[in-house]
Amino acid sequence: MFKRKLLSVLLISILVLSGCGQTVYAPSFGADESKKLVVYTAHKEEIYGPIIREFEDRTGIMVDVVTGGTNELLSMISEESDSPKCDVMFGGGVDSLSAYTDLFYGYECSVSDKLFGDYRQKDDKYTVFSTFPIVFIYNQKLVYSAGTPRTWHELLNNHWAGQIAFADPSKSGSAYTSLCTLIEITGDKYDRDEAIRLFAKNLKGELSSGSSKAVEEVVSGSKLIGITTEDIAKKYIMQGAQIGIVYPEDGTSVLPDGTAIVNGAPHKDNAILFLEFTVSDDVQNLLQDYCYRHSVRKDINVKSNVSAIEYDILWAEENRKEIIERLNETIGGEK
Amino acid sequence: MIKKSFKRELLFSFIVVGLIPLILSGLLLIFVFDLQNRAENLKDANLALEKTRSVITECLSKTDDVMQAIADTKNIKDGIDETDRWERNKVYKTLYETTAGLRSSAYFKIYDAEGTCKYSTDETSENGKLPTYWGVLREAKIHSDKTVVLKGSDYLNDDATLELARGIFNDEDECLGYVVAEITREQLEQILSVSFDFSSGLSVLDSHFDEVYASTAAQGVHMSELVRERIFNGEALSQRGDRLFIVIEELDEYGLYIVAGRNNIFTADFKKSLLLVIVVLAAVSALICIFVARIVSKNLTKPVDNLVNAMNSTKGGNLDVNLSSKREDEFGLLSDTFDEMTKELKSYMELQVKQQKELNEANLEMMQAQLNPHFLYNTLDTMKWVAKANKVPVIADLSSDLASILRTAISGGTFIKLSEELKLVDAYVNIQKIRFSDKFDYDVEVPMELEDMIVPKLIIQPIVENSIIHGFRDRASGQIFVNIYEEDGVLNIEVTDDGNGMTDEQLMIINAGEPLEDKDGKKKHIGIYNVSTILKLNYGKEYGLRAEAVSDGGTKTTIRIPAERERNV
Repeated sequence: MFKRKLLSVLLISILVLSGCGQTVYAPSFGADESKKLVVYTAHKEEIYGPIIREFEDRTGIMVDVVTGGTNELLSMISEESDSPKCDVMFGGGVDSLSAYTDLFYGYECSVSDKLFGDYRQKDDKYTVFSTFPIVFIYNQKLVYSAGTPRTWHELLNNHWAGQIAFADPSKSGSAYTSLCTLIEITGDKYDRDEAIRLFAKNLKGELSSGSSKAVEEVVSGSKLIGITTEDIAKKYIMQGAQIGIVYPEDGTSVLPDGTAIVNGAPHKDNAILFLEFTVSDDVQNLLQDYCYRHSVRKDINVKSNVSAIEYDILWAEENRKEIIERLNETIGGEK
Repeated sequence: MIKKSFKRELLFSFIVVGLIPLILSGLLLIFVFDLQNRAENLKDANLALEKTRSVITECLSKTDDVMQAIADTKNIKDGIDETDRWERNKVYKTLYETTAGLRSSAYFKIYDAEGTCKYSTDETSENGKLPTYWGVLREAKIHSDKTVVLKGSDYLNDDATLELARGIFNDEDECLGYVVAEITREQLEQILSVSFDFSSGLSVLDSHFDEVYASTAAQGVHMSELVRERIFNGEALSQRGDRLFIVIEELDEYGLYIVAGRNNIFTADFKKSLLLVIVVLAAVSALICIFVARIVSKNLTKPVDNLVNAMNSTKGGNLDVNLSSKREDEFGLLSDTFDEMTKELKSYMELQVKQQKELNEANLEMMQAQLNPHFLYNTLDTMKWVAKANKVPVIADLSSDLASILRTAISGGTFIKLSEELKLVDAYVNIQKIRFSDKFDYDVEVPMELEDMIVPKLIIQPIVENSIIHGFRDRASGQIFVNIYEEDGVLNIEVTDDGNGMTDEQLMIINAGEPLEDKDGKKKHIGIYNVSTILKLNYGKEYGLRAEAVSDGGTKTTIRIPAERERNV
């Protein structure tokens, strides 16, 4: 009997000892809820970095940034819609955003009248942020300047077969937009599926994992030409890459990206502040002066010589699944 | 049946002694080590923090002073927009003089009011542009009386990790331009290298906990991200089981945070492995305990079993049991004492037997002494002489025979030669013949070599007497035949008569060594009983007296004793 008591005393003391010694060092910095914001962004760091930081400096609000691909982030927001973690979706082409408008909160910004109206969402579920044309790039060392690609139609010839750097449209929003642009512009000669088939044949089964990667392929010379957005191309050029930009003669889409406030955002007031900031003078000027992008503000935008087509967002959205399937089928066949 | 084996108790005690101290000290060790580790880490981290703080503060304040000086220098103020080379050289000279000593730790640039870089101590960036409506220049313009410190705008300016800027104003408080100090990562690392070693993690964060700088070690473990995440979520900075042990300090005058991290070797995984070691050791220890307990208890139970077996054997009557233990411990003592005990017991028993025999012999002697009054002998002697004198020879023969009988009976000693016993029987028979007027015949058959055999006194005579008195009662005549022979070392004395014989019941009683009794309970034929008893007492159960009926009538009584020529009494 005594022995049992002794044993149990020992056991208990062992347990207590092992549980002890839990000191925890917690300093008392921590933002309180009213000074927090959660942003999901599809932008590159060169874009969102300075903007978020300037916002933090000016407002004192601490921002938690979650990065990812446009569709990836939109799916996350959709999954979290019962208890939203995200306040703001920052970035993503308006074609992607318009497919998820029921996730967003309609808000008309204070400078809405100063914004270009062509891609304005009818319920202001998102607000445009910046815009950039889709362009061709070519490796200046390997492509003779007279032999650069000029038109979308050209890309369907087998002249450029196997030499086109193109991001996977199921992953890259801008790549999908490019594909839809191609289909639309070549729509006078080829129907949708035919255009996809011809284009995919020319890709010879190779897709890049992202739009920046596609540019790098051209820079390194593994591919002669590529399709990407103007700002990325300009950035690489500024860093010394020997690539050239071609604005497609048969037109191209100049699709803006946007900012949206999530329905039920935990920090809605701060989200509104952020959205306002994105279309403010300073940010829009910065975009033009330092980020190789075009402002969506009529009063700030510098006129460019790009012939913009009208891009049918709804059509792009409706056909998305099929288009990507078709592309993958043919790509798979080519591999 | 053993209900509560002490073997189990032994094993239990072994295990308790073997395992519990082991486990306790193991856990205690882990606990103490953990505490010690924490304390050390805390100390080291705070030390690193202190050093870093003083180094950074010193550097920044020196830079601040220089920038203040630059912003106040008339030469520079006037020369910002200057295009003339000569004037520009003068401005550069002032710039370089003022920044002497600090140019290894920062690049100093002067921007005009539109944000174009006009002068730079860095080879490359003249004519670079910074936005005046954004970032560091904007801040400098707003806080016109101080130097602002911001995380480097590395997207605009690839190299700067930390930027300090101060607005340059004229007397009317118009902004003429800006002086900016840019500290690159290498430069910052150089500054910090004085204060800490790069094996630990160190990072510098801005006021929103964004990373300004992180040492390679800190980068490797994503220390800055971890800190930011924890602070954003309001969690404790250092949590149990972390790989890294983190402390943070604020440099509020510059809106910076310094974070120091030390490698925590005492992670949850490490603790788990230590616990595993303890468990394994405990298991091994338990096995050893069981093994040793087995051996020890066997060592203890073996002598106990031996003793129990010996005792059981002794219980059965075997007193020759001898353990002869070679042990020298307590069990040896027990065994030796047991051996002594049985030896003593054996001697005691033997003594008892001896004493009993002596007693019996005394009884015997007493019994035999009953036959020995001196005066009868003397009287008989007198009677013989008187009879001879009066010429009555029969009386002389009677008394002479009786005297001869008594003579033998008186003599000391319980044993006599067979020849002497026979002589006595002869004398007796003579007397009886006279009494019974030769009614019977008496014969003896004895080999000569047996005549000096030793027999107890007066064993044949009572038998013969019995034959005469009872065997020949109411008979006209009878015969008694004594036959003596040796067989297998046993002396046989057969007395056969052809008289009445005895009933089977009587024979049985005699052979059983019991006295015969008549109807009144009085003992009968006591002589035979006595002889039987004497024989038994002297020689044991295997020898003695046996009576049987003779087929034609009569009784044959056989005495069997060991054939001895000597007897040590």
